[in-house]
Amino acid sequence: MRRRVLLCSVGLSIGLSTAAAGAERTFKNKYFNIEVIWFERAPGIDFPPDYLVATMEDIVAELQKTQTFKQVLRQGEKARIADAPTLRLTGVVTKYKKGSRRTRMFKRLVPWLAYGTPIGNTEITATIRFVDCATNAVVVERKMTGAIGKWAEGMAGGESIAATRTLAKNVAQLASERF
Amino acid sequence: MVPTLLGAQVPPGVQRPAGGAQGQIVERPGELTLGRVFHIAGVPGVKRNMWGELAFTQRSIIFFKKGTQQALEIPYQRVQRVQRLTRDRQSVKAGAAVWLLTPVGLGAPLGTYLMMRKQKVDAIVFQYLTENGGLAGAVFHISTDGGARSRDWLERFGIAVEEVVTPARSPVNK
Repeated sequence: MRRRVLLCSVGLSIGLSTAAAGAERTFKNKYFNIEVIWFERAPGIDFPPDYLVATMEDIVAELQKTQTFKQVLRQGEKARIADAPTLRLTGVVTKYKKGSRRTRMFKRLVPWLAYGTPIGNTEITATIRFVDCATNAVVVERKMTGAIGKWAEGMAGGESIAATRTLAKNVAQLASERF
Repeated sequence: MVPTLLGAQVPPGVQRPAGGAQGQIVERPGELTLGRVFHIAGVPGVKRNMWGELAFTQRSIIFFKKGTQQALEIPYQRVQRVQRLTRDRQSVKAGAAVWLLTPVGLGAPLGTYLMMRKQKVDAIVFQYLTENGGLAGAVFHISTDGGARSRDWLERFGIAVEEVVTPARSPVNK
């Protein structure tokens, strides 16, 4: 009996994972272009304008690097082929933790005090939506974070604004996996 | 045609600014040049923190990458918004160099001081339309004096510069 239950559960999990993979595959090569809309800030979030511009520019650059789409359009830009299936990327910054590079550097100099803790880390969290331009349906929605503060970022602690690039890389990775 | 995009050659009519490379501000009739301007975001092919010169001419803003003729040109009529805010810069590379290059133990305190020391600069944020009508942005770090001078210059051409006050730490944005 136990063996049957085990076999059933293994079968079910394999089935579910293939179904999920199949669902992800349906978007592959479906969209030619992506239009990147400027992110908004959630009420009460003081996300600085320089970080916002850096986020948008980094996202455009990272999406271009993935070569997932024929054209990466900025907000308001017209596609070369007007009828081509296009995705719209929108986002709302829901959390911004300023962090401190000085604290991160200090953490590295005296690691026994704060090893592995998020003290001083810069974090940007945004709700990302990929929307089908033709139907206005949300195709993928995900909460994503860009952070600076990992030990791999070196003794200097990493620049706070570099969190925008981490977020952009995560968004581009998601786009290349799903589309 | 005047290229708006970065990495493009400077158009024939535009002269590369002379001077200003050592962080000076050079103002001549019809041109304001700020030396040692750090690129933060928005210029393709130019890394973050790479420095160059920012020239304000009679009709556009031009960024010259260090040691090259490559530039970003933003004509004034395409500028949508300009914001100015105060930021801190840390000379991490200089500090690290002192750490590494001086005999063991001696450079550590000075290197650490240099790495931790914060210098107030102005961040200038431009939002503008590209040739294709797309909304783009660029961010540069310049000296506080340069920030004030560039604000005055842009206001002469009818471009308002918003002063953004960075809020104090709050429970939401700690």
